[in-house]
Amino acid sequence: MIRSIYILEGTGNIVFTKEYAEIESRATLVEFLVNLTSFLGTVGLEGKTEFMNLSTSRFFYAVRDEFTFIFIADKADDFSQIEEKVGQLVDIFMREYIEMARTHQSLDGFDEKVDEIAVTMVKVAILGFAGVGKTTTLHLLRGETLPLVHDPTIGVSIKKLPEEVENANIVLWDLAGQSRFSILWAKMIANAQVVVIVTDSTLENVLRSKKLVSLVKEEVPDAKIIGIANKQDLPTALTPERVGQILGVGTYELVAIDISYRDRLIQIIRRAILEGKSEKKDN
Amino acid sequence: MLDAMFVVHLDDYHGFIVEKRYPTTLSLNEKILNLVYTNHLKEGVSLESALSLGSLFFSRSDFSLSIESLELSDAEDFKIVSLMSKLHPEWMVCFVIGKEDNPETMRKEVTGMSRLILKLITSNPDDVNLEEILRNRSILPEPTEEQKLAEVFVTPSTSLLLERLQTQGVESAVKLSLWLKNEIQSDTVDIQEAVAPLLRSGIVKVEIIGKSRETVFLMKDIFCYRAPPAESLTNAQESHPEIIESYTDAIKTFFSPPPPDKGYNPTLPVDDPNSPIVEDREQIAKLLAHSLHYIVLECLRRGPLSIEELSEKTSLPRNVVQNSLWALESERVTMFFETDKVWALLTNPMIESFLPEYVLPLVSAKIIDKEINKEAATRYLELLENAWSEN
Ligand SMILES: Nc1nc2c(ncn2[C@@H]2O[C@H](COP(=O)(O)OP(=O)(O)OP(=O)(O)O)[C@@H](O)[C@H]2O)c(=O)[nH]1
Ligand SMILES: [Mg+2]
Repeated sequence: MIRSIYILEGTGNIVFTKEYAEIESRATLVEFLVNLTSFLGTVGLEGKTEFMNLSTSRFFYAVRDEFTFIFIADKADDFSQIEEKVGQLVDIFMREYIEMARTHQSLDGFDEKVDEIAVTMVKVAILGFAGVGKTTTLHLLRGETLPLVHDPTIGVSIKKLPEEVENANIVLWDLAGQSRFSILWAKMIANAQVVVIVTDSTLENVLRSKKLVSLVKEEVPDAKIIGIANKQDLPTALTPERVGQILGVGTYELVAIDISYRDRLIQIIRRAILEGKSEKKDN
Repeated sequence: MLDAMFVVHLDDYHGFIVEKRYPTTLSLNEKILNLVYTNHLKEGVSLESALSLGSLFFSRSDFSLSIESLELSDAEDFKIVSLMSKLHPEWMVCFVIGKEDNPETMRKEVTGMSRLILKLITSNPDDVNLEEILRNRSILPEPTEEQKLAEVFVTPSTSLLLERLQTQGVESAVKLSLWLKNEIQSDTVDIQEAVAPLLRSGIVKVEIIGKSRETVFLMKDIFCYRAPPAESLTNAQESHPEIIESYTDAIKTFFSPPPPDKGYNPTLPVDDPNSPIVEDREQIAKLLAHSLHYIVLECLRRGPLSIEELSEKTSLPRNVVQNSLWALESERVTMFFETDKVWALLTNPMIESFLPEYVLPLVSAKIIDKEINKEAATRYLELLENAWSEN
């Protein structure tokens, strides 16, 4: 997702700021932005949008006349998606707001336009073996009636999360767990920002699911992985702590057929999106 | 009966999107798309896992050189023949066929139409009119020998491999792939994909020499140049006498202008890899490898034609032909004659293969340095002889 947007003048004066996610050490960031701006002023980008990676973030920047535009997004974001948005914002600014900015008037209406542009798609993939409760989890997240029989998913089923998380539209990819569909997994998790690995909390299934963790790390190294210890209502269930230990990723308990888990699960996904991958592993 | 079809795009965020369908009333669902797509992947992945098992690079029987794969799926009430191409892995072209139809008999048509649709839809989706394509059975034919050779220049890592082999003649597959990885500073280069155009065009051959030493041999070298459009000029005398004078002039100016201008001479030796003639060769190859430009070019080799005539002969939409003509014009391949409203070739791009006799001393040196053994060297000579003797 796009975390924040800044427009600076060549002098280092900040003309516009929009922050969608919390910024940890703001003073350091601002200092860096000012330095970056003055550096870019000397190299000249000739209308191109460039980027650099800093830990889990990706800074996109473009320079037009005396203005520098900086977007902070996640490394896991689809590159072209953000690049296009930088272009859109630059265009609107140069077309409608540049004179106001030059004369230091307030940029009426710009804020709303930025909000429209800054909405991105965030892909959350739900991965796990057959029958562990992925589709049930999808329905739970969407606040739909929960199916009580296992109707195996064919291929992939793609649905939106009704709520936006800050400025992000969440698309959920519920993948089929049956082994005949395992060939799809690597392809279908491409560009996912968050991968939810669902287990049914039985020892056998959790052990097998370690393979899925490796697959995700291999295919989408920038994605945040969440472990789910589902079917906690069943007597055979391992504790979420135990499941997390085996999987080696932060893991949360779930009873996907129990609607009362919905808000908790949404919060978990929301946090994963906002905090990104850098978050330390806590079981 | 081929009477319904659809084109699917797999988007990383939105999933399967049916971008085009004919007839527009054709109703599809997620399950159908999933089943068809899964069918295609089956082959691909078993191949990858097979490759990761062994150390052999190119000569495994399960390494497929083909770019296109055709699959038959039974999905709900439909029988569907679908094509995917490695050139456009996120697209799928699907034809609904009758219950009694034998898909084998439709292979050529289905492949040709799909190839055309993929080419059009990935350059400009608005150019694709499924109904028209289906009605006219418009196809893009299989790549010709000439095009297969030209394809070497489309992928940079492939042309790098060719350059390397020009200095080595023969090299072990392991060494060659290490060299390539080092050259482009990347571990993720797909060596099979890089070498595939060389294998398809017969420029290299791979054999196992001795127990398991997989060896790559350079069998042909290639030469790209612009020839004067002789056939076109001759035919223009009959068909378009009004343009003959200015047409002849234009060709003369390009190939043999009055001194001190030098004109075009592709045989001048060039040592500088950045020289314009080297760049020009690559440009020519890229035009030949571009399937739409190529069929337009092929028609024009025989003589000047109007857009309408070209559109009819190629069964390509008019604006597609127009775009190709402009692309060719900007590379000084085609020119337009206002008076007759016809297009003609100014230069005729050619690509030819020749026996790389220069490898023989290289091979001798390698034997002396013990880089290859006698067995490999003898086999190389044998292979060259087989490839180049008249049959
Ligand atoms: N007891 C219990 N059953 C659950 C729970 N979550 C899901 N189930 C049941 O598990 C079965 C399978 O659920 P699905 O969500 O369809 O499984 P899936 O992971 O989508 O399976 P595939 O689509 O085949 O990969 C259903 O009968 C669900 O009702 C849970 O927390 N507790
Ligand atoms: Mg399911």
